[in-house]
Amino acid sequence: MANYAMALEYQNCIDCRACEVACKDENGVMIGADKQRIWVGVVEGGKTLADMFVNFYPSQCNHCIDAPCVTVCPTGASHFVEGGIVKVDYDMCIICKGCMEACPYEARFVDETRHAVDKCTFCDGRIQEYGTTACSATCPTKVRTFGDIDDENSDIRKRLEGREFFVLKENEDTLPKLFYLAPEDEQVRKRTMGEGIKLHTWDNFAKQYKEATAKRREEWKEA
Amino acid sequence: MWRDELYKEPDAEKGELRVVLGRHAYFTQSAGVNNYLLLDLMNYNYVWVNDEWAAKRGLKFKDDVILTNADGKNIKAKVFPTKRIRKDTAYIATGFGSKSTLLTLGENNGISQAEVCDNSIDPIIGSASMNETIIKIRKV
Repeated sequence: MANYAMALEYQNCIDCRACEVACKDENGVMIGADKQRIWVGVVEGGKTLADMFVNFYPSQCNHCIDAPCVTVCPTGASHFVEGGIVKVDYDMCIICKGCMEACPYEARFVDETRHAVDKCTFCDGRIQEYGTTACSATCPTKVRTFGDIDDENSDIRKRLEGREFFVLKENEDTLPKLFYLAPEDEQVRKRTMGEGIKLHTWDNFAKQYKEATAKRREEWKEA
Repeated sequence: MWRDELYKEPDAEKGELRVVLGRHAYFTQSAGVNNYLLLDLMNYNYVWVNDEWAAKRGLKFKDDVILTNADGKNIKAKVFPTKRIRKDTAYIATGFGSKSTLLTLGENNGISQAEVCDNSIDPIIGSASMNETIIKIRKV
């Protein structure tokens, strides 16, 4: 059974937000909501024209292996499906917003057209047909690589094995599945990564993910 | 051929700025005026001005201003003070403020770059010279 994840070459992001438009069109996300399923974080810095910079951090739901939004849900609307994807059953959701509080990445929002809490679904349904999500297919600079981290021959594994990467808010112990690839250039690395961020390689990282996935796998429902 | 008298320098102290009309990563062309998905990302194009320059004139984000170009045309706009731009330059993104009444979402929404632009023509290729315009900004 697959275990889907995403690797992000975030230094290539140009903040065109084509991913956001593709996501809205593919999944019918509410127009005009204050948040979206995916977004680009912008950090501006520097004081004069000579030393100023803008960093872009494309992001979305991390589809954590130990997702706190699933454990906190009182009605069982939040659940895992095949491939380790965290989904919301719109009919069972009562909009108590507990999951929005529990999520450390603030990836959830209330979609008023569905009368439920909505979030990224890794384009569940599209990936069975086309093998990739709408956001990674549309990206002009190929920031996102979507794939199965259990499959040794997948694109994402090839990308992760050769590079160092980090994950967001590691100390929350949620085991997120968005892997941010660390830039190779020393200056870009210094500019875009905060201090104290732990870098990983696939060899020392894979073991805890495999163990945690094996524990959780029986909870995964059929898609 | 290049002659020095062709170059006019804007006097930033008197409130004159050179306007750079450019494309945007969201609106890569002016045909996206009426696109609801793009308008959800950004529904108005502000005039970018330098934040120090704006602070001197008491301009804040979303303040109403009037742009006057060399032909004497007055255009209503809103400002966006930022440190991403030089003190003698202003920037306006393309793809807003259409005059066509059938474009229900795009009509008169934002600043039309064609209205701000001077009537000068590029001598080499005969297109409109987009970056030659000098405007004055006045607070309303």
